[in-house]
Amino acid sequence: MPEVKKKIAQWHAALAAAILVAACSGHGAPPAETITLEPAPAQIAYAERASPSDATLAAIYERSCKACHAVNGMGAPLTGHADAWTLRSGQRSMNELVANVRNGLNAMPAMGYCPDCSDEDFSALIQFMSTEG
Amino acid sequence: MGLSRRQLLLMGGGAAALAAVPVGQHLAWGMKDFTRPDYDPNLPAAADGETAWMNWSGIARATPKQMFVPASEDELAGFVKTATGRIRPVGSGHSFTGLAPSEGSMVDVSRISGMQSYDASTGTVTFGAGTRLRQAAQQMADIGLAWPNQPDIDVQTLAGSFATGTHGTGRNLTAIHDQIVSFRMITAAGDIIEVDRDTSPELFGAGKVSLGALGIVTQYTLRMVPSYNLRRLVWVEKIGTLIEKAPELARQHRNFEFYYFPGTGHAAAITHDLHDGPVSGQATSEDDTLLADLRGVRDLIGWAPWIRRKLMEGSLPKGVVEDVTDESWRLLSTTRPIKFNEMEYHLPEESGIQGIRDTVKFFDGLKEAFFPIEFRWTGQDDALLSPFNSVTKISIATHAGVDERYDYFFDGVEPMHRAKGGRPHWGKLHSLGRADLEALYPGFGDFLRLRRELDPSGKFLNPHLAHLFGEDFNE
Repeated sequence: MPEVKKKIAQWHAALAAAILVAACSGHGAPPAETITLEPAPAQIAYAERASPSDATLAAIYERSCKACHAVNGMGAPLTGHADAWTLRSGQRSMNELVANVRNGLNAMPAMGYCPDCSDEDFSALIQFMSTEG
Repeated sequence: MGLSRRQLLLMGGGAAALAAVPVGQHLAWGMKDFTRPDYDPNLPAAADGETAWMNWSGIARATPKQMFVPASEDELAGFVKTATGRIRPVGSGHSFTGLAPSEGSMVDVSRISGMQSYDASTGTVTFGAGTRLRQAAQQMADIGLAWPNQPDIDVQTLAGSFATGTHGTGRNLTAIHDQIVSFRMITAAGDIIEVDRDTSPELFGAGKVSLGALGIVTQYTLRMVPSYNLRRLVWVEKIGTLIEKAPELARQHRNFEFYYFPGTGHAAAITHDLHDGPVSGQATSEDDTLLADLRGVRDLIGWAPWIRRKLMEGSLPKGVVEDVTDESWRLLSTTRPIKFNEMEYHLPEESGIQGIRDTVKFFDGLKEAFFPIEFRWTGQDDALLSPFNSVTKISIATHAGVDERYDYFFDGVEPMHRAKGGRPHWGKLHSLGRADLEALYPGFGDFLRLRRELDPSGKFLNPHLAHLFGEDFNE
């Protein structure tokens, strides 16, 4: 019954983590899975104003991507905050990232609020957003 | 929300208590799989020539023959005029009910978006109907205007949020569709009509909250207010005392709401009030971390309610946990990083307090519940199908993790709200049909008549709407 063993292992790991955190009395680094990169004020300011130079791409970006990727604290990596994108995307290829948009990922809905976007559009937008501002 | 994982898991005596509990119950709960059997995170399979679509949470699904994204109003009018099959407009897909799905065509108006004009002297702004709420807020900030109020989530389109009666919180503030001064709409015949209160009062009253059933709106002119800053206070309090104080807090503060954490006895209260002077800006949202923590505590110890309650009493921060100031549009809405399914009912103010007491009791008795219950207030307006039509309402929203069961919304939660005269949020889960809605809305018959006049062939119907309106529906 591998599923049962896995559940027990998860439960023990969670309990151990909880007691460990309690023992630390609130000091020290947060658990690894909660680490997020806080952008610098200049990066936040850049994300709020940046837009692709290509007019067609900019129109898509304005109506689809910007609601979540241009304002800090939304849970999505900020436009121009390259390190946050690297942390999220890890070793995933561009094809895999495009597939994430097509199928949705975390809070991002399938097709990322752009039902008429092509894979090329998604690829170009990811390239724009993940490039340091 | 400012409650960090670290703060939540400062277990203190809770850890010791864990050592004394029966191991068997631990293990049985730990092996429990909370995933509902029909959970499917993937898009539906679409045949050649079809497009796969699902809503944000994945429970509303369709494979339309066409997903049409018009570049202009004229292009859309031509499409509707010549279309022979069914058409449903779709916004951002944030409704949980089946308002948008169609096996015919779906129309996404998000290319018809952005600010088109404004008049600073009257505070009126004209937007494409596909403009997202946040996009509108950002563009208005540049010209010194703002929404008087905003809903929690602001990625919805104007058309989608207005059509479903989307709202924020504030006893003296109205739902966002109340800002509409006029709108342009494409009828089932393909005509473009301009609608305002003076020239077509009946259609104006019906079209503000229309469920997208009267036509496809392409443009709204809205009355806004000068930009303003807010101060946000968040504090944690025992649910019993918070409910007692709630009516007073709703009167004292511009915006008041709270989130109750099921099984913990505690809630986070949030107020927003006007702020003059420089702003502090805000910390990064930790809502996602908090939710992961609440889910984790449920997974770990949900089988033992008294331990869970003690654990949370010992670990939740007490008193004020956040005190920040910022521009209104930056504070009033957030994107929800964790997906969920939701039911929300709007109860008359006089029965809403008992409503939240009953809801808290129900969820405290549901060991698996962890998602916060949201409690808000909204002032009355005059849109025909607005849940807030003629009555100030208390809104109670209950959520379930996207992959978990929510059948108890219908079996347990909905009957409690209905017994108190509650009206459902149009975009959130409910089971009501025509007879129920006729009893709840004095103007429902007028809306049905108007809809039949505008769309005699049912071009804009789908199964969900046909159920609401008591119409036959054949593919």
